[in-house]
Amino acid sequence: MIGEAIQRRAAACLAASAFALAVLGGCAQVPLPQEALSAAELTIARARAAGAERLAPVELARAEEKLQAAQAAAQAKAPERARSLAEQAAADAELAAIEAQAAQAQAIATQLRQQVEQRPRRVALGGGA
Amino acid sequence: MRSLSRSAPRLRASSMALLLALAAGCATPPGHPALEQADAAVERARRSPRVRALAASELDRAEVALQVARDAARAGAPPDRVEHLVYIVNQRAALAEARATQQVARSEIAMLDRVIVQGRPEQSRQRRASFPARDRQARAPLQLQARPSPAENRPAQMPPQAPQQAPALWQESRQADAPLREARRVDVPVQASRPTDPSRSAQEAPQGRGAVKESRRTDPLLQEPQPAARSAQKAPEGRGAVKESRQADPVLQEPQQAALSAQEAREAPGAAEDARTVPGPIGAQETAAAEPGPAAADAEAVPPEITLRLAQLSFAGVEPTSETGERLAAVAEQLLREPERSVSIEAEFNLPDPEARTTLEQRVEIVRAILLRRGIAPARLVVRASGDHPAEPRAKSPYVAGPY
Repeated sequence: MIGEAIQRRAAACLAASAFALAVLGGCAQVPLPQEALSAAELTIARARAAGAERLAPVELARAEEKLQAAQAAAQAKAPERARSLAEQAAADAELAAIEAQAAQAQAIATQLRQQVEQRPRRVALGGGA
Repeated sequence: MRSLSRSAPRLRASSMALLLALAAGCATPPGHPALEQADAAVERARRSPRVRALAASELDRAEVALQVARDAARAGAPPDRVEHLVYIVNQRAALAEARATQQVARSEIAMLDRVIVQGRPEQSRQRRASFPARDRQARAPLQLQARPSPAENRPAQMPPQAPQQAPALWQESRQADAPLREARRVDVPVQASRPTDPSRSAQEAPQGRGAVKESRRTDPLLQEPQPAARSAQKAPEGRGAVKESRQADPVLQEPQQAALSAQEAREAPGAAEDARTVPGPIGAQETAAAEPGPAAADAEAVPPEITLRLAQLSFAGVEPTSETGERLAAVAEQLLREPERSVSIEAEFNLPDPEARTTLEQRVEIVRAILLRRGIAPARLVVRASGDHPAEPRAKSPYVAGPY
């Protein structure tokens, strides 16, 4: 009798959780946390390479914090949270990279502009094109 | 023993309640303030002409993220999940803005570089403003043939305000962008749907078109609609004006002009040319589309409906891959060019697996949203189950073994 009850209970549990997983899976399809984690790491490395450490420190720091939190969450067996944090870290790092590139380009442009403005105006060198 | 056997039904009841709650959540679309804010952020990016022109793919990503977040909110995903998705939307919107800033700075660098090398700033600036055919030739050999006569060229060359640095930069950056877009275009299959004969059409190319092309260049931010509109009127047979059909795009800000160009587009349907085909040179395609003769004939010959089979588009989860994004962009461009055609999104909805069906519906929704945001009128969009289509052999299960 006891055995039967336990069996029934286990079967019910199994069926319910399978169905719940199916429903949840349908609502939100997300990549594995491990993938998200390594993607975030890669993006952060790229941002660093783009000079984000100097040019977009806030975004980069945010990305790194989130990556650490994601790793911690993954270790604490919270894959959903780990994934979210990793995705956010990747988004932050990507933004950091572009912002760094933009800042760099703007700095170069400013420099060139000054160069052009300060240059003594030369009169007709002939055949400029 | 009694307690054990009693706990089984209770457990079942509670899990059923949980499931019901989940299922009910899937049907309610809640108002979400953070989501609305993210929506506004994307809208801001979308409204910025420089973002649209210089960070189109980043903008698309923001749109997709927004759609995913909306879907999740509508599906009653847990608040922290929605919050996460909203965060991603905001970051994507910021990314698009940053990308546009970067591109503007880059083009400025290119311009200043040229100035320094040539050592003649005044002349070079002027030169850029007038966009000599030589420049375009270098970028787009095919477009060269459509070069306007000098007379046609003139009105467009002189915008009301003398070309300052900013517009010049703009033109530059669009140029810089052009080869990229051109390259992207190459592997888009939809484009080939219309037979083109660039060399022939180039010879027959009407003069007006070039003028309008010019006007778009000198009027890059669409902030000064007057010159473009003026030159469009000057273009013969309203053909040039159709170029402006980009402004019929609902996302754009100039309603009057949209009305004007839409009207003119109707007057010359064969030549309907989508101006969303950004600055650059799409050579054969543009030329063919702008040519009234063959284009009109083709329009009659081609089936009026473009079919997008979902099973043939690649997705990562519910999000379209970049390849799919490009394909959709191409289809949208084609639709804007050919106002008489409509598009049907075909998918095999008759899937046994509810999970796969939900995913499929979300994908269809996203594809639809992308096309709508690209300015396709809802009336031109049909979603169809592949079984409905009489001419369509029924696909067994596109997700198990896609017909690639």
